Amino acid sequence: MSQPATSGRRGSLTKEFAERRSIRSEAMAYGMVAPLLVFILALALYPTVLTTIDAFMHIDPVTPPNHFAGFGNFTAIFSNPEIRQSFENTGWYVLFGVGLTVVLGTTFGLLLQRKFRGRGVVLAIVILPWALPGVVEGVIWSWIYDPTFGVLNSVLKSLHLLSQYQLFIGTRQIESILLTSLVQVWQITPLATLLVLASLQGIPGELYEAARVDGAGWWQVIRRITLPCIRPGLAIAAVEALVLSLNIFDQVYVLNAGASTASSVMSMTYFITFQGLNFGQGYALSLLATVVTVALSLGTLKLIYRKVTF
Amino acid sequence: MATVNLEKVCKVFPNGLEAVSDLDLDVAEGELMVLVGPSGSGKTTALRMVAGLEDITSGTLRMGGKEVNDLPPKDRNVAMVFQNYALYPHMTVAQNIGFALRLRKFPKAEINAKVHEAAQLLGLTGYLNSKPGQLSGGQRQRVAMGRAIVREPSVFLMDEPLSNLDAKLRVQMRAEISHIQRRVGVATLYVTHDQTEAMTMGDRVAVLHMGRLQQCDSPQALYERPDNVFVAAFIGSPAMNLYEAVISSDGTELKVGSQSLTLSSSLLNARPALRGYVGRNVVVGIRPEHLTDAALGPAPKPGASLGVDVELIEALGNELQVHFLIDATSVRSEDAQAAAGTRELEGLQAIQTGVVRAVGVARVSPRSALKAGSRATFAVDTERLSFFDSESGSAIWA
Repeated sequence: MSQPATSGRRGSLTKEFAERRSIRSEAMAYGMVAPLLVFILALALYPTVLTTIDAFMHIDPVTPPNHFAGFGNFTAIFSNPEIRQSFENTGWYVLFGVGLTVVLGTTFGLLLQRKFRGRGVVLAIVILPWALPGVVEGVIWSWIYDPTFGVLNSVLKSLHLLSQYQLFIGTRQIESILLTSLVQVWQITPLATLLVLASLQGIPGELYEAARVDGAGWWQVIRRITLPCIRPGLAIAAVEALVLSLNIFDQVYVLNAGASTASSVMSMTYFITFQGLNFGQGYALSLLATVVTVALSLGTLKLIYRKVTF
Repeated sequence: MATVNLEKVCKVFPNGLEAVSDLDLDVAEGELMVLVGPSGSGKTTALRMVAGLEDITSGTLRMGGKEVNDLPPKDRNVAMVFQNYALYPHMTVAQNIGFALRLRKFPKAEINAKVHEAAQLLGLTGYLNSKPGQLSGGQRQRVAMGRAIVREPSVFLMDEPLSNLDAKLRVQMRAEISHIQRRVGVATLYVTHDQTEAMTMGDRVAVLHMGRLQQCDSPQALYERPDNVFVAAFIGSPAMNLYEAVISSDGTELKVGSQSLTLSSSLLNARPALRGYVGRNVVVGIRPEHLTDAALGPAPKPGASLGVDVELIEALGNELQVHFLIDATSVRSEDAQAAAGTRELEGLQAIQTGVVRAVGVARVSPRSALKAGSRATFAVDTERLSFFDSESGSAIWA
């Protein structure tokens, strides 16, 4: 008779022990992520909340006092032609930035996937621009684009494509944006290349062979096998390019200074906030940029990302 | 439909490795030819050359009588089933099966009809909208088959298509593939390292070793009349027992270790070439089923039995596989060892207290009362012994 009672007690003890252990391991997990959580809350969430609140406030040291402004900052933003111009410009930045980065990253990824002598060196050279800070790159490229001694002018002139040296940035809108965007593309293409390369290396060789036996030529292999299979890498590369080009600032600031021809939303935010000291409108623009960035990033992911299981 | 002819086909890789040497092989229309051999025997390379995925270093490859050495894979009208199926992960089952037709710009309705027909044949109708990642191994294998048959190719190529399946499914799919191949009636080259698969599926089996064709014949002929020690050791499970032996100077006895077997006149008449080996070393091959427990039947004739020490007994229900040690010398040729594989290689020769003893296997009736560790006498079917030249390893038949 005592046997079942003992085993029953043992059973409940075991259960209790298991429960205690599970609680302890759960607490341990929370403990481990807590520092990161604090970090994120302090550096990301807190400023976001603050920005959101201040976007609806009139905050301007030139015309105090601070007060609740409702959608006032937003209506002011949308009625400011310079800011509206920066919206359009940013659209172009995104178009050039995402388009060129994805196309170049994929092309370089495909080229670097092949094994050839000196592949490691080429890979290192391709990655190099990624390591440079945006401002340094801006300075380098401002020399390249310089209207009096720039390399671009000199090359184009020696190729007889130009009759005389030109001012590339600051006059024509699309040309200025494209050339400014190129600097950023030059910087972020290495990451896109690596992401594509990593995805490419995950594709089993048999898949290409199967496609060739099935009757696919090289272009059909790329279009129907390679590209669909690297969608996870492409999606991340595209989102990376999207986020950076939506928020392009360094290159615009260094190459265009205050000119609004190629101004971006971020450069406008900087000028309104720190030069115009209109913090409320600056916060509103920042909030707008954040919302648009999140929305477009999610949209891009939804559009491009597909889980691929080999 | 087409025939496939390989004439002195060689493949030398850039690093100098000769993977296939002077391969001559003819696959008739509708025939299922199995290429079998251990790892590194060149069977997959040979298949890939036929597919056009590897260049042919020298020799001629013909399909339907036309030389195709330099044709790219897409122009050879071959379909291939890969070891890992190589299904396109982003496409549904229907898109996978219809991919080749889509590339050939078939009308949509025709593609649909053909895909459904193939799916019905393979029992995949309910999975046409699934992605390969959602399918089991057997289903994926079927999709790979579907992709191959839907194109109605001239030649099927299969590279170890069953090696990723579990044992039970492999047996089932083996029969299914044979059935489908016969139904479609297309010349098929099938690569496997599994000799059971080769024996059960092939109309003919080509045994390769170190890039060279050892023998190409029907499964039964390979089993009963192997051309050399390699084929003898490779074909059959458990493998043929191969020992060094000496034919006595009067040609009537075969000395295996310290024991003797009588060579009957009927055996010598059936294999007259054996007379040339009188007084010389040969390799004798005894299939495991040609050894029976002497205690179960009438006492064997003198010179028709071998005494062994039983090491281990594996009961398979319908038979017992008796692993034994015999006072004899195992064949030490590289060929036999390669065929036996590394596991058996370790046990090929057992050295105990200075006496060289060889291992062997017998398949005996489950009624046998043999016990591990006991001494046993096996009756030997001496009429069915195989003999090989101990130098060259070639069979001694006629």
